[in-house]
Amino acid sequence: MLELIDVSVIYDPYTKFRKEALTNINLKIENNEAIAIVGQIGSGKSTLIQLLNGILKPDKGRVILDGVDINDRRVKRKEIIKKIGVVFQSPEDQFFAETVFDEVAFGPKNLGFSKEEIEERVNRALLSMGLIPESLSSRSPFSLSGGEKRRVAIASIISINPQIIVLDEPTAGMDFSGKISILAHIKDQLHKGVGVVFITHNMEEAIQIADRLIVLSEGRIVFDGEPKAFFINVDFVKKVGLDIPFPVEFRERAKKHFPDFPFCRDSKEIIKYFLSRKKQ
Amino acid sequence: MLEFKDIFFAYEGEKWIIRNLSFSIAQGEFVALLGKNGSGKSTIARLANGLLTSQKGKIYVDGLDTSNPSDTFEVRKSVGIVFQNPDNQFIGMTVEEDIAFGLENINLPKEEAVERITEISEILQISPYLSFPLNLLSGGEKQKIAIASVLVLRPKYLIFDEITSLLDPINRENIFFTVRKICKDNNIGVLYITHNPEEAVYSDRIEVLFDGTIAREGKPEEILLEVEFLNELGISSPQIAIISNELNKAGIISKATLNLEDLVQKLC
Amino acid sequence: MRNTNFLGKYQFTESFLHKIDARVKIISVFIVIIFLFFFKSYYSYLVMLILCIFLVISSRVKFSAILSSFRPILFLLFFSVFFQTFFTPGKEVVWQFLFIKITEEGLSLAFYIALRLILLSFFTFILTSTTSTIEIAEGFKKIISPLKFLHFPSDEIALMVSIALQFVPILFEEADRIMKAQMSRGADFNRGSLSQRVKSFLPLVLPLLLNAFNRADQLAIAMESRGFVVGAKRVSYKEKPLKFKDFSALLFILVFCIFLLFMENKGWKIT
Repeated sequence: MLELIDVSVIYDPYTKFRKEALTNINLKIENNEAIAIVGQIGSGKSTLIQLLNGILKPDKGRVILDGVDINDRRVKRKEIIKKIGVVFQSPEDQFFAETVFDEVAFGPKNLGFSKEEIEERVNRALLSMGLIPESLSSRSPFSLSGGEKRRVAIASIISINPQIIVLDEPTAGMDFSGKISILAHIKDQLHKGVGVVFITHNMEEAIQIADRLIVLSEGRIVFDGEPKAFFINVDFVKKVGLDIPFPVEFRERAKKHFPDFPFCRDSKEIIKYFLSRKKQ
Repeated sequence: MLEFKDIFFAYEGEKWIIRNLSFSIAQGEFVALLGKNGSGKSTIARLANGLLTSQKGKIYVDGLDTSNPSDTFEVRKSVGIVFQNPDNQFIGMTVEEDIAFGLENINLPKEEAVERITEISEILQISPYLSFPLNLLSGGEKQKIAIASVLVLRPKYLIFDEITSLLDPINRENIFFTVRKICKDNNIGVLYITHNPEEAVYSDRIEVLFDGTIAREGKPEEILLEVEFLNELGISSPQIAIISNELNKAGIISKATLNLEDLVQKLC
Repeated sequence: MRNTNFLGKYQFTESFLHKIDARVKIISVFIVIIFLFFFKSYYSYLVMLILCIFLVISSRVKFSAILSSFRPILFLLFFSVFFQTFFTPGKEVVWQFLFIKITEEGLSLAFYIALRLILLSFFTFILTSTTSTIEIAEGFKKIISPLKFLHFPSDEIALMVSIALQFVPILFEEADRIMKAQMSRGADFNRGSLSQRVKSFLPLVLPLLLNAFNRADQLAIAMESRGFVVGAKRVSYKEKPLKFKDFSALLFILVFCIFLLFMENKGWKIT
């Protein structure tokens, strides 16, 4: 379990550019949750995820992983990295290796696994992202298509086998099929028992994948609970500066004429509702 | 008229990325180009103003041949391109100086330049930022500056190469509608390249690109409701189209529509 | 958005020094540097120091910023002083231990070098703290623009400098992102032997280089799309004529330095 206790992050504290990026964050993340973090630009989302694996240290408060303060000097960073994997935005920007295999092996190699273990992990990670090791392993990561690159980049964190994967806008810049592919593979990870925390601007994604929604506004958590409970309150969503997902917009217009219109997560559920009404 | 006639293009040593491509854009038209990543969208943008030259076929800008080097200057004045990432379009100074960059290139006299810059700043509501260094602005504001710096050259045609794909939904909507209005108001012919079908709903016509060629063209109502067809080409449909389509197939509504109000009315 | 003005930490205060044209400030620093090498008398240096302090006070820059501006040269200062003190040959030996000698000449030279370095540092600091990077780049460009007539591509170089400066904060952020990404994969940039550390920089440097090339490519395309042609005639809207205060500042520095040199020649006697 990952816990943030009274965490605050302040940029440039001693200058006139002082900015509280995050204020008084209290958060508990269990191992097998599907959490979406949403918020306007500048609300602190990217800062928050950097705290989760110790890359960024809080200026106030503590980050506790399985009972241990991860920023304690005695704790080895590699132990944290083994448990919490973070995929940053446009992760394909981090490519440097000659082959896809080397790229995906970078993580396990740094963590000191044996050659056999590394090979096993790389192959497993590639397969879990829908990539075929035999055809891709020896290719240059730079020769791949956009969607393949993104999946290789995510695979290079999966190969670490973390308990929780944190992704910053995993589908940004992807086209339709790319998005579907990435989301499907993320769901796969959930089914395998890996916890998933992802930042997104796409409210439809948040509704469809997450069981739990965390909403940030100006560095504070203003909502932490079921996505449905948040989006049903359309005024609050607008107040926090967020987009209304289409199924919710639809419901807002339709419920005047159809008072029993349920909260729908996607188009399929909307269609189902009207089909079931027809049958009546 | 911006005309693409039977274009074939390949990058050096590679296979054809654009094959037998033909379409045209009249001044004042807002045409959306939909296509999945890798279908050749960005290549088309660069062909339109002569940055790239096709191996076969010709592109004409109001009669000027983009492959003719002596016409290049005029072509560049007539066809502007705004790219996806504003950070990679700025010429490192203040907002005002960046917008002026293009005007300096065409040797426009200073008084006229000041006039144009003031005008475009008011239209895009960026007047308060004119003396700001560029790195102090947010993503949406930066993209507005990038658009201003191209609009200020008064092009007759504009190519937008996925200008909203790096933005959040609210900025995306803002920029899209702002851009559409300005282009309509100024009778600019637009090729709006995107893989976001929600934006294509508001175009006059859609060109669907697949595998380097136009697979279909038509009005938004005609194209976007062909959900399966678009899916096969790797393009999504707006959610309203998906819902409309299914309900139409099931006989619940008589005709599929792209308008939400309309759809709700039909369902009553 | 965080403001990163990295060259000498431009201070957002207001003073008459901030308002003087960048070209004048750049040229003044050069004049001072040249004259500093001619001054030999203590009095000259003292007067220069007083001028310095006066300028620093009127620039209304924070004292802490001034102190931190000396950090980069401390090492050089210490090294030069040390070197001159112990290794200058001379006749008047002041102190000796075995074969290590300190001569009067050595002490004197060390003192002058220290003075020059400190004054130089002060004047450069005054320049960078009262002139923004953009202004310095522009000023530099205008100064070298006359070289155009000798077919020196001064406009292009100035444009390149300007663009490079604009990309520095972007690439800094990019480097930060990449570093964090690699650290999240267990990369350790602080461990191991020298060769190990150098190797460990590849996952940082290569993506950064690729990123920079990619951006440069995109920028070139954007520039061409806006009508830019290398070497073609371009108008410039940034002609800010030099004002009276600019000329007087330049004249003041020049006359001041010449006066000091003149007084030195006369041995600082006023009869």
